[in-house]
Amino acid sequence: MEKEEKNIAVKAVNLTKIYDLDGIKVRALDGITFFIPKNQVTAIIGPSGSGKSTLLHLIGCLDKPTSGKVYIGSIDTSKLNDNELARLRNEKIGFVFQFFNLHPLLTAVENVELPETIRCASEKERREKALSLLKQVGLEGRAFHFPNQLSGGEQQRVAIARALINDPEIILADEPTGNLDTKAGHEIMQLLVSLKKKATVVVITHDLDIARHADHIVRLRDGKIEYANGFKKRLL
Amino acid sequence: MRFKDSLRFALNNLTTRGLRSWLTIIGVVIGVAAIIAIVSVGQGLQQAIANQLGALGSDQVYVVPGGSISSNIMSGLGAKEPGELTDKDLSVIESVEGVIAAAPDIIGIETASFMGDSNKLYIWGTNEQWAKVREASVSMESGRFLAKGDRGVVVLGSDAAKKAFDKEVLLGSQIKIGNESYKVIGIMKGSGGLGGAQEDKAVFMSLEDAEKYSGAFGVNNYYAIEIKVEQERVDEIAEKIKEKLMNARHVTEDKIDFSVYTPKMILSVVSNVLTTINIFLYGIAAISLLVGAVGIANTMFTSVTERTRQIGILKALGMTNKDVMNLFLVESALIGLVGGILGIFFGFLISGIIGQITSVLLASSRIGGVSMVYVSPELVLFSLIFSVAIGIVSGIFPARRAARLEPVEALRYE
Repeated sequence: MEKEEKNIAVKAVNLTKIYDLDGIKVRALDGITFFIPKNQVTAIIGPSGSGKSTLLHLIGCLDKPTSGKVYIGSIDTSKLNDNELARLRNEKIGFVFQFFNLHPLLTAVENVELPETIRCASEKERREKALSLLKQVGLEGRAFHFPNQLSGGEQQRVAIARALINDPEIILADEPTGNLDTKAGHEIMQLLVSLKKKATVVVITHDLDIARHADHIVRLRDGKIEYANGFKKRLL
Repeated sequence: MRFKDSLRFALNNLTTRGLRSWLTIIGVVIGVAAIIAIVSVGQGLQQAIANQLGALGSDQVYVVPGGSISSNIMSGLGAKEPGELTDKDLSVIESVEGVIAAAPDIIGIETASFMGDSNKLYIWGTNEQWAKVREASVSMESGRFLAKGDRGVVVLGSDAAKKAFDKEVLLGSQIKIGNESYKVIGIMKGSGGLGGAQEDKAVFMSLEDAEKYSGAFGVNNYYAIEIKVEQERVDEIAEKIKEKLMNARHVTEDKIDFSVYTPKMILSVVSNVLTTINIFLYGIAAISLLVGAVGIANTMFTSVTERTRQIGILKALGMTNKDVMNLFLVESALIGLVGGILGIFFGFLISGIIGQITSVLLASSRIGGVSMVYVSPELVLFSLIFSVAIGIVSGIFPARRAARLEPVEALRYE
């Protein structure tokens, strides 16, 4: 068990999330338990409404479970207050969203810098880092463009660079290719997969073609796990 | 987040929504400009009056025709009130214990010419007692004051001699007042008040000579009687004068047709009037500043709503609630600051214009043509701090709302 623990990036224990929508209670997640191994690509798949996004939000510490716990490494997130959770997100987690979620009034490089700016890093340091990351994702020529001047694929690459700037342990990607054409989507997935050397990559998707790239799959339906720790062989 | 970065963020947001930001700022500008203009005029006015009254001396008592003090102060020249002051009243006053000297005044305005240039001057009719009454505050630069029986001669105030005409009027010159020619037998020293006491601009002559230039007053119908009394008992003696005159004129308190007052009384009446007016005007300025504050709050609330998604992103990336709140407070403080600076600038402008206008309008009244505006450095500093404070306070509720947004909700917001 201990040996396993060292290789676990995220652990979810009996996770439940219930939403209250105008008096009607919706059970988005129903007591799920699983773990996500380090330095691998894990895909969380399932049909729409299965609870994938909710799960991502809980793993990403953007939301708190109704019951159950999320462990980031050995840290029990239920014991952290809002400020500590914010710091956790800033230091250990990188987000990549379906709709990119770049700040429209900042240039690409300023967007990439954002996690560092929030952390009060020095201007010089964060600028260097950001430019280097943009180069890595092939966008050094677009560093000073605004998001509305970039294509979808380019914006997502900026988002990935942003997710990398604080050297995160975990990269959470919510339908990263959902808003891209096939070619761009393919490039983005390749980029994400290449990141597993540096971090643990978790991708939410309903697209099995995307899931094909993963080492490890968790499949949800109606807020429960249909199977986890499965291998591509079983799925396909 | 560092303050510098918060500032950059704030500037970025404000300049993006340029027009809306400016409209909000204008709200603050109006409030601050109004306050600056009002306070500066108020302060200037008080200073001018204090100076004027300071020149009058604390051992003086005045008697004027007419029963209401305020109406006398406000009426300036020649308002006809029932009841005339005559030499009989002068005698009564001189008989009061504690009175040192009493002199009658009549006033008018006439065109005077000297060496080819002409100008309108105050004509001040009085007698030789005047110099004694004003002993403490008036002195001669050259020549002498009027003596008993003087006719056809004048004494000039310092401005009348030096500034009224192209050439300076020297002792012994002939000056023409209306159609008559007079010899200048004395020139007074400047009174030293801030910008022109009436005495400095006046031409002094005997009652008999002055009568023809004064429409409302005459040799036996005075504009005022000035009295010098024992300084320690000013109020007491003023009261005695009032009693004796009431007896002599056969009037009771409720039918009184003259007024007795001391500079202290004038100052307090004027202060009261000014204070009342000022309070009213401050009220208006405060209301407009309040409106400006509401404008800021409104703009910030809208801003929070529009940027809900952005706030979600910032929180997802690790920004704390406190940092989010500060971000918005910096923005609203900035609006206050810019509004304050521009407001001060426009306030200066407006008070300058008001100063010019009042200078012209009041040139013919007791106060004299004075620039009655004063902007103190304290006022500027206070306005600046106050406008930033308004910005911050107006921004608190919107900033709190932003800080309390749940990251997940915010990210979902379209």
